[in-house]
Amino acid sequence: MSLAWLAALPALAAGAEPLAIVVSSRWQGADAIELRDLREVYLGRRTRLFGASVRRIDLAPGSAARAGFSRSVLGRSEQDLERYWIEQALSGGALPPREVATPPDAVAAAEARVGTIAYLPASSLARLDADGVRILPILVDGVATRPGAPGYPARTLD
Amino acid sequence: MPQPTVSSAGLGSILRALRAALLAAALAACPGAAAAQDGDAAPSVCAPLHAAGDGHPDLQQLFLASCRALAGDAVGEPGGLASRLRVRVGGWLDTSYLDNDIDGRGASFDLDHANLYLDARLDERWQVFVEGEYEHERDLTGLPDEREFELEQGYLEYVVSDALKLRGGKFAAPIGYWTPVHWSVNVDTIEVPIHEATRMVPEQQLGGRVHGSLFPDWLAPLEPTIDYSLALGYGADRLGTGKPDGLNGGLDLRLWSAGRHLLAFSYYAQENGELQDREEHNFMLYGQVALPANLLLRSEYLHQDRSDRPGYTRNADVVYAKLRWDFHRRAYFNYRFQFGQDDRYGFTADHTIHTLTLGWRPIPRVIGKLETAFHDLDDGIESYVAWGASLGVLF
Repeated sequence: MSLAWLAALPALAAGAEPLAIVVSSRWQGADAIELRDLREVYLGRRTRLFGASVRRIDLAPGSAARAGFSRSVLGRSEQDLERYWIEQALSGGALPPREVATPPDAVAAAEARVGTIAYLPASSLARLDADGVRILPILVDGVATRPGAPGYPARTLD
Repeated sequence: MPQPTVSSAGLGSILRALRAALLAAALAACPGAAAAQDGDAAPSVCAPLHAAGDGHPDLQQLFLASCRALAGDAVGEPGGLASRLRVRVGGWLDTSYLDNDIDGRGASFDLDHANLYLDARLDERWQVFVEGEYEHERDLTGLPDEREFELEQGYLEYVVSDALKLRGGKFAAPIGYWTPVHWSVNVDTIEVPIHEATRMVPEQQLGGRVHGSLFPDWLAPLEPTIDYSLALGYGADRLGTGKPDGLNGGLDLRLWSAGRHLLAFSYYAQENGELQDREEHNFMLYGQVALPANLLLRSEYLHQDRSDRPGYTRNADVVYAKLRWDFHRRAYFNYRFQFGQDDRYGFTADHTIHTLTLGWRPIPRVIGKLETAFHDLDDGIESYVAWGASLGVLF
């Protein structure tokens, strides 16, 4: 499925753009995800989705995409998220997501294994050869919403 | 988003070197001197002991994977036991300077804690977590200056599902918000809350715990998540469990909304072996609200119902409310109000505390705090002001 249409998405606000949530095209049953479930998965509190054990991919710290994902999906600042992972480490809690350096690495990781979830700027996804992944819409008021649609919650920081 | 500065990158390198030194000590048991096999390249410190075809390949891979994980290399090879094992080793230490205006009590500077932990997970089902601690307790209210080494936590956990996990051993007591996450490098203040300082509830529990998370569909606009915990333990002086004597236990229920707002309740019961087996029933109501402008409001209220014993009030109530403002990506300001019954003066006194803390995290693994606290006590006990600075490092 061509993802070239993503390149035409207007910025939701000056400097902010939607983040696409991507999974392997082979992951059957992964049709759309609740924002709560996406958050709980990335915080390590939920480990299975759509019948598969989930592996999470995070972009490197310092990027607008990661900061935006922390804010818009996880509901936390990066400072708060750092506290959270320290708390998890000291209490034997959840392990943090695996970090990758670039959006192409995130796409490659999602493509390689069923059950892997990654995110990246939607415009970056449009420029990649990403036939092995598909976008996972986020359910907004029960409606599967894709990047750029009104109300789509995941976005980079301004 | 600003990139790490040279100074923060340098500090990060120092911490990595410290961690590597710690891991090197742990590698002493690994097959570090093994020869290369069949013309392979020069061995890493974790080269396999035996050629393929060894009679116990899984044990070999387990040892190899453990060694590689400790050395910070990628774990094992696909398909073997090694690829299913994840090991994490770390620790932290903190030091503080404390002073006050109490007559006869001067300033002190010391290493407060040094903790090491090992977290090993197999197949995302089994987990072993072990934490050792050196602790130096300094108390301005008259408790003796104590230094101790102890097993802070040591437990085995089996994950049936996200909704059901079984834990056995010694673990952080699941009571309230502060107690399960009380490590000084993790909390926002230097001084601990009254209920922690007076050990109204124990820091750890020795026994078993059933816990998990549920993700109900009801009240969907709240994006609810429910955490629950049921714990049962046993305390005895010979086991080093502190106050709890005999059976103890309780439950904890947390309702999260959107992952940030919390309303929760804990109940914990024990017999206090230090006070003639006084029965203590603890009821805690706690929660937090994430406010705009990077503000966080959190509060815990604890009511302890006590069976009657001479010399102490029948019941005790303590409450704190705090407001934290993350005014910068690397710094925060925290104000905490506390009020409650404090048993540390030979009798129960009403104690009011206003605490102001400035926190700074130049990199995620380093936390510095500057703090001042205004203590107001009744019943003829002189009020006082305390202040101090602390530095904590995780590795």
